[in-house]
Amino acid sequence: MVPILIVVLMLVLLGAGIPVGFALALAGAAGLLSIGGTGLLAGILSTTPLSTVSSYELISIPMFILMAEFVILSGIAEHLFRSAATWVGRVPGGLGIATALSGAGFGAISGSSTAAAATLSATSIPAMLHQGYEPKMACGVVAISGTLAMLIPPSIALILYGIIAEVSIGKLLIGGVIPGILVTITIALTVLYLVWRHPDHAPRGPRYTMREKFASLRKVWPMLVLLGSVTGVIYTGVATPTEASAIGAFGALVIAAVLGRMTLANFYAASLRALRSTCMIFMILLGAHIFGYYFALTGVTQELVRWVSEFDVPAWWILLIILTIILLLGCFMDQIAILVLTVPVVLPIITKLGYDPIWFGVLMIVVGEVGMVTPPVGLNAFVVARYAHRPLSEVFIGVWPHVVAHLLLIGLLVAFPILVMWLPSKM
Amino acid sequence: MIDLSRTWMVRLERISRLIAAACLVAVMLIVVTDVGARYLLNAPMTWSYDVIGMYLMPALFYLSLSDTLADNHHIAVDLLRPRMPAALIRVFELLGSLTMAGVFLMIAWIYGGSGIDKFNSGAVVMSTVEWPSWIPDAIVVVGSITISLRLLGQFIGHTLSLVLGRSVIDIPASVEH
Repeated sequence: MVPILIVVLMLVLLGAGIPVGFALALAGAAGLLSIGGTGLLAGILSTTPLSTVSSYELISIPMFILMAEFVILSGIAEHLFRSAATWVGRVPGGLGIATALSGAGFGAISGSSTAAAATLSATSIPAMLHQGYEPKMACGVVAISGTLAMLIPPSIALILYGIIAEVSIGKLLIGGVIPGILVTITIALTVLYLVWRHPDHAPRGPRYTMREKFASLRKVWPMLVLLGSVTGVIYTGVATPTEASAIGAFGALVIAAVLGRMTLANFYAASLRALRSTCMIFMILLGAHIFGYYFALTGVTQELVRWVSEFDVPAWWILLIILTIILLLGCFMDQIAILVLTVPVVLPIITKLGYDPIWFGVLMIVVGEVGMVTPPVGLNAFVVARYAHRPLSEVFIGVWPHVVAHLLLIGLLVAFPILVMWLPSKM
Repeated sequence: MIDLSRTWMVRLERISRLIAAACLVAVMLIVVTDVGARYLLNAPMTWSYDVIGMYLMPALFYLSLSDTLADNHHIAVDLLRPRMPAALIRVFELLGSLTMAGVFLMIAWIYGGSGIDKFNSGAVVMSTVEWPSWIPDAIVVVGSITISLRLLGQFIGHTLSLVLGRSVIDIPASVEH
């Protein structure tokens, strides 16, 4: 009975707008007090506040966030979109497809979904509207393309999953590559379908010569350098994912400086933004650890695993229920909060059912992408609406076809785990 | 009085976040130098792992905690808040601030005690270098006390707002909205 009350307390605090990390810490502390008094709480608080953040492996979170901030400063994303638009702008829905491609490119050099959505909003929505695109379609494709950064390495969400689930972060990141490409193709195909249904929603862009097309690639070199310095070094084993994150941040800093975008004020502002985002994530981790101790001491997780494993239904039914719950949570909660709340409970069930934790991690992020664009708490939809100065409802309506396409792709990844596991198996 | 304490709080947070930002940049530079030294000079920096894990990571978190709260950067779900009356929001804010301040003060008390013990006994972590083990505890204490002060300030501000019937402190807007 008490564990249920503690979960209810946590949900009330979350619902009332108390920061996620604080709500978890308070509910966990209340739970620990209820079972062991101040002695138990003091015991947990004598180790957890320091052990949670005293980890070398954790640096990948602040470093990839710092890299994203420097990437935004450098203006690489604008060049990416212009280059993609030069190559595919002439085909039906070309700028929409260019948005998906630049979302994938930006995702390959940044692990932040909201940063990607904000950057794409500033670059591709004005271009699409200028060319006569229907606003709902323009906003929808930008919102969904921004989520690619969650999946394509370096992905902060995947790193966080790896830390919580205690699985290889390198394999997780590489496991996100093929699904990332598939999501990009899915977005492009959805755009083509929408344009086929309503050709007037996405007029064709101007024609470019081959010389102009190749010339546009010259401005994309910084992205290739960063891609090589992060994904390349992880895959080849030159550096660990942890070290690669710092190399990536440093590379982005150098590129921003070379492109003349880095002033001392910019540098400090970018570092401060990265610092605050890191602090926010670490506070959630700290709260989740305190809450996790309570769950571990009461044996709730083990009970849940035992209860679920006694179900006389096929394993994929349980997987389907878990994915549906994650999908529904994504409509209300932030992805980081979902990861810290669900992974410690759900992963033992998943492994007990015989599924691979790497595959499930990638799948969970793809499912989480949907939550990023669905009401009422679709964070990317908010970002697009705010940065593009468009009504929120317009973004939600525009992204709906992409949500349907995404769900079909999730079905494909569930049916064929090899799509996720092939690259990690080669490491 | 309130204005004066607010000014000092802002100053304290400014210094604190500056040190935290320096730690963030230091992590990047140390790792890049370490990888470079390892591959190019075959001379890895054996101390980098300890310095980053033991000192810099706790510092960049604890010394930015209060500033991140002041900047309203701690993400909240905010599902019911748009439908809640302002007074009820303030009640949740003041209760949340007070209880969280209690948790952080408890953390500061525990780490303060263990830090003083370690300092007096000259305790070190044995590695390639003998690292003083009281420093991480001191970082936790400084960060926890700073955020506790911020939280207690919020508690007083929301309580006064309810009692006086006028806004002494703003209701934080959601990060997501």
